[in-house]
Amino acid sequence: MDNLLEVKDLKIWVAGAARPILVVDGVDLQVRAGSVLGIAGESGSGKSISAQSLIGILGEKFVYEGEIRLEGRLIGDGGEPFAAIRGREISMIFQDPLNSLHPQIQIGKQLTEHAGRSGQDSRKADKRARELLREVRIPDPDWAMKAYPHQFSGGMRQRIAIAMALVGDPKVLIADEPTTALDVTVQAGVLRLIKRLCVERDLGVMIITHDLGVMNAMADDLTVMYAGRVVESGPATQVLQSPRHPYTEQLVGSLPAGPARDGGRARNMRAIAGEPATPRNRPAGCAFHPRCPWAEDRCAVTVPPVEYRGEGRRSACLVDPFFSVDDVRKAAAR
Amino acid sequence: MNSDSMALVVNDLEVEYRTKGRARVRAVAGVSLQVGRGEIVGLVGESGCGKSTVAKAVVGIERPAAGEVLYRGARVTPISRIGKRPKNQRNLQMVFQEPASSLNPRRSIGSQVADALKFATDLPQAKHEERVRELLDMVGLPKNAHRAYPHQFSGGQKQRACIARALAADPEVLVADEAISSLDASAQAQIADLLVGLVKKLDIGLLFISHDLAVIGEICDRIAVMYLGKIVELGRPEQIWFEPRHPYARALMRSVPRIGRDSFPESLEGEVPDPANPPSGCRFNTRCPFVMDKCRVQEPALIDVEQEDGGTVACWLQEPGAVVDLDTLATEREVASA
Repeated sequence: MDNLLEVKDLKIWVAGAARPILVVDGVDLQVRAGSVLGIAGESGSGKSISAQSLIGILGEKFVYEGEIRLEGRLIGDGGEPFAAIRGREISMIFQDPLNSLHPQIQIGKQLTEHAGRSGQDSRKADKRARELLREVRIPDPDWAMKAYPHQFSGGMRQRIAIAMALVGDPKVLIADEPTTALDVTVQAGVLRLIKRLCVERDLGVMIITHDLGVMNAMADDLTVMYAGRVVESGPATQVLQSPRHPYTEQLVGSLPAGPARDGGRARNMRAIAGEPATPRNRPAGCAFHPRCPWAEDRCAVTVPPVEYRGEGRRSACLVDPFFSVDDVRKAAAR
Repeated sequence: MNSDSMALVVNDLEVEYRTKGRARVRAVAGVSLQVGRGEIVGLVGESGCGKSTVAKAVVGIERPAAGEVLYRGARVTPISRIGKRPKNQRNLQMVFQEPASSLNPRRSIGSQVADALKFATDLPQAKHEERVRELLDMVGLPKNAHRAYPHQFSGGQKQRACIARALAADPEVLVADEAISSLDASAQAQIADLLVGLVKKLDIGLLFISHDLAVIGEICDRIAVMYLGKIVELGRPEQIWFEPRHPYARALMRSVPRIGRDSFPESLEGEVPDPANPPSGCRFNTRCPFVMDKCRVQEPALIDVEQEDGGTVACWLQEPGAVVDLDTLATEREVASA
């Protein structure tokens, strides 16, 4: 399958007090049209920074290296400038929709702003803005066009931010924790909307969240990051239900799953021992080794490469404790 | 359960906010619940439902407009008169969502934990250092943590320090308001584990407030579901989880995205009504998929529907001894409309 957006060996440094710190270390990502790529990880894993680098909105303190290709064309350093891509071919929405909406400008004006700049017919732009509001299921688009952001609830604001992101008719939509600030009953609606847009518009969607439950509902493919590196990737259902990397296994195991049906306390939440590594204090070798129950001596020395494990799955673990003979047989049979 | 034996009793609590030129908002409109020693009671609901206001009123940060909060059998004195708060009530403690903002960045962890010893206990000063170390060890912080400053700690460790400070007062009941919500998944599990362990070990009560149903469902002994200032259902986690009796509790459960769940999470239609102007009748009637005429007029009271399980629900669909299974009802309606 062709990749719409392809990132190879992405590295990002941030200026530190003494020397630059490598916060993202060799990340590969692929986004396919009409499909959702999830990027999961805890804070400090580098997931948001990686996404920001793809549309060139990293701050001045950051430097990136790597190959970013949109439909095969190189963008960013050495290629088409990000400014020509951002908001047109790749759009982004954020956790707090208020960051993407101007508080003192009417929604309609914000949605048609670009049309004026690019010399489009204003009546056409107006009609299109209404269509977009309808597409993201804003009730009463005519009223909404004249309203201000504060007049909407959090869920509606995020829908409007999504409409804004769609103005340039993008091919890729990057959503960074799009529902983290929303109530769970509202979250479901926004997630459904993103999923629908992905299918209907054949959008390549990249969703970044720490919430693996959201990933389960949304992601077709999943990449799990830890301390700036990819530890595991593959089809989302497989990654979540039978993780291949110890970190993924421990992370899934640490999630609460609710009570057991018989009333016994299931205690699904198995805490991961120790504190999360951050790029600033990334342990040598595998960054997860100090917390890993399967760690061996070599894990503290060698950085494990991301290796193909069959059936579209990759993981970066020297020990590979969840290796099963069945997997090998299945792979061989193909 | 006998309410006399309860460490914390909340009776018909009402809390109002007044803003100039605006209508009064009854953020909490008659909430009753009890927390016993060694028990974790969860309070769950969406933002704006009043759950945090209940927490604040319980520890005395908010003054109730009506009703009462009893701690160790006596009314809780509002915090504005904390100097006059009887010594045996000073240990009613709260743990907040943002550990970073509830710790002073310029003071060592040890000195901040010692504050609670000074304020709420009779322990002689000479023994403070030893006790502080003991407390920090109990919450799983490394040796020498008492000398550290908050910025040297991760979010999870900061929250551990806040819990140690709350425990320093030797409480009978701890109130935790979204205490693990701002933490990463792995730290959430650690802190949840810690709280569950402490409740059992120290035989204290915990009122655990959270919007996260999965966490609440997993660690609590009983759950109260709040909507627009009122408790709509109270019961054991597995009952609320698998057989919710209130349509709002059911909608909440069905909206949570979870691993292993095949169906897409369902959204709840409509917006939360303005608490300054709640709908007449049942407060959930504007969004309820099972709404009946009666619901728009008359407000249902919290009733026991099945004597043995202690669960209560406020819904006109439910009657004592005749619990309606909402999933079955929903299926029947689908069939009828098809």
